[in-house]
Amino acid sequence: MVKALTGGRLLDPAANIDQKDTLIIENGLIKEITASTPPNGAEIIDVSGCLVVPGFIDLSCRPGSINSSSLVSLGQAALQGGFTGLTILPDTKPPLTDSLRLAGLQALAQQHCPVQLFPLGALSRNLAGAELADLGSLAEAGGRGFSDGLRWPTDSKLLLLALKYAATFGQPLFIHPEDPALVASGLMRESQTATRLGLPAIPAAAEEVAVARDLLLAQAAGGRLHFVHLSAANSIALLRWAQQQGTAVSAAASLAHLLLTYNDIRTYNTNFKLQPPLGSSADQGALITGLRDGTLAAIVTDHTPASPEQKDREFSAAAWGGSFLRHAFPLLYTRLVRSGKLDLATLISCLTAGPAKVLGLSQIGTLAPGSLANITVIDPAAAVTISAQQLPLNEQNTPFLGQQVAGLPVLTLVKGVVAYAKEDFSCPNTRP
Amino acid sequence: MLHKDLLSLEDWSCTEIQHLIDFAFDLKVRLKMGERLTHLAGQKLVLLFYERSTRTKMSFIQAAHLGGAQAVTIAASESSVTKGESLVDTVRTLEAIGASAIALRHPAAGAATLAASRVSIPVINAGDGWHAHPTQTLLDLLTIQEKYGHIDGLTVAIIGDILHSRVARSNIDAFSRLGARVKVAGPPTLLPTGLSQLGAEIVTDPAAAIFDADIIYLLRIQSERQAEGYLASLSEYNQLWGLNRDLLAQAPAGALVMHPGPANIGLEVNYDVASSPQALFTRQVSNGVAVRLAVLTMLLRGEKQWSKHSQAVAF
Repeated sequence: MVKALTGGRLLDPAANIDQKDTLIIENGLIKEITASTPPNGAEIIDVSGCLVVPGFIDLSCRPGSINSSSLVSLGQAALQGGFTGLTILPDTKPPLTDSLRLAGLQALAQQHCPVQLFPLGALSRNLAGAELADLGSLAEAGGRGFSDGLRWPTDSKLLLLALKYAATFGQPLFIHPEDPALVASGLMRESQTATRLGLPAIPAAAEEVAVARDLLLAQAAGGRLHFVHLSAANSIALLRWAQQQGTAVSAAASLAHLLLTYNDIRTYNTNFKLQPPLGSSADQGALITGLRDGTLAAIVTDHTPASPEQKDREFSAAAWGGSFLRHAFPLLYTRLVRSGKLDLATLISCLTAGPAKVLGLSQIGTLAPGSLANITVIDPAAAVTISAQQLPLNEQNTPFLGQQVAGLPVLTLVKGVVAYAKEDFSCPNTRP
Repeated sequence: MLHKDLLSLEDWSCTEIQHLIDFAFDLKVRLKMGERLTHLAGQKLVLLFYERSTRTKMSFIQAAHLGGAQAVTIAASESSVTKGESLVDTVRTLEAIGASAIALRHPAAGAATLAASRVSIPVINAGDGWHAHPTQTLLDLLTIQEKYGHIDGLTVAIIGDILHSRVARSNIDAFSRLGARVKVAGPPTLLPTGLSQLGAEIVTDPAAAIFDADIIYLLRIQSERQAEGYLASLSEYNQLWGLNRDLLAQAPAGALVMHPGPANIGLEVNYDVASSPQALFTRQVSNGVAVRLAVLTMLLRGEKQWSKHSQAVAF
């Protein structure tokens, strides 16, 4: 079956594609980009006025429990948000600590989750941070990298050896850099706002010292190190320094940290309780600069669904994390691109080619002929007000309720198949 | 502005705070003259306490009784909270059973804000984590006003563990907004970021803090701060920051000493100071009753009371 996306602006900055042509899809792959008429019998999908970009890839998702219903909602959230690939951190329930569990997740996903999942295997046995997990069998079972999730490996020797050992499989370590001794019982970033609210504070140094140590270990060990998300200006500066030294390190910024600061935590709204904690406006500026100059390779959602009863609690007792997949692109497009803080090309790269490169996958995150037809179509004019009523119960934990956003994904294709079409998107019509 | 709740004095204007203090003073005088008040008859105040308390709990109960209201105490440790009932469900249950107001003491900052947003009855913050303790601040203000006749222009030195203190936060904000000069002193490990933006001057040396102070306000030092690494030792704290006769001698003669209680004698304050006439600790405690009655009246009887402050209030 041949499909032709016509009339849209094809945009894949990493492959130098930015043109108004027709995209031809055949057998789940992108066949070609052409100015000529689509072949006879092709299914024509008119996407005039829309952007056609590679399907988005998220390098940090934390779906919580792994079961058929959580995977169904994860898939729906991803597709509505234009995501065709999701990296799953291993601190799920149950955690992805052995090859059986990795295989189990993939078998379940095959049935219930139409997007591609890139699960990470445990870095240390049982995520306990004491000894190496069986990285080889985890890689063989489909692990796309190794991580202890939101637990920073405090043992320097363990991380040094993990970096060396993981190099055998050519896969990166995904590290959440946060020194637990400095985090202690902290709930938000140390600041005047934290002092005023009386919330236990986490110094920026909790992240900075972890980043500094890990970068030096990566220099010493070789191997590939990727920071799941950075939130402090000094962390970006340290990363930039290490990259200039030629160290194989990459990092992402989370959507929330690009759009919010700790000053937004005014009324103990637990939807702002995020890990790492929200930073200052200077940190926010450093993150955006890091995306612009390429120090940061990707933007992640850190999508973490939570039920209302987990969030409708005291700030200290509430669950960490927010749900972001569904409106990630519209939020970033509206708040960063439309306001002139980031150009569209960089935003697209950071959601496509950037993360694909971190995962070491060349067949996705691009519109280049021969790659998988994972494609997202965006209507820049389509707008919505984010409201709890339109969200499933366990995705109402977003700090962006009430915000108006534009640039909604209207069509998401996975391996050439239309997996999601926005309800008012005119159905693909076949031309004789 | 009509307030449903008292969560933090930050939400109250200086004029409103001054009205509350004046009104509390008025109530205190009338109670002292033997007047029997019944204006809160039929009201049920629930004290929902997730932390232990003597002063705050007892004076809320006493205030309710003096106004003719009932007071019911629920200790979290003896309630459905131990069965896992959430704060939100607990306050909704209390409202459904017929509570007219809730005074909430809770170890988490923001607990009173959360509770207040989920019920239509008034919620009074009786202390939430390190955040706020507005009725303590009001009773401190009443105590100061009784002694000096004003707050404006006074110098207050707050000494101790500012980081973990809801009293310090509430007092720094209200004292400085009402025109007092607020200095804070304590171990640098216990001074949080951004105190100066809240209206305080930071001084590490206690002698420098008190030499021109009209009021020395001491904070309680919890013994666990030593194990947590904030203090080298309790005895060293007493040596460096504890208020004894010698240190007090460096303050202006007649400077007053206050403490929110319970005081650790021999730690943040020595016996000689605590037992001196300059120490107002028990007067603070007794003013807690009038202040809490004023707050209950304002929140339960509404705006009518505002315009009539400090004159004879007809209920």
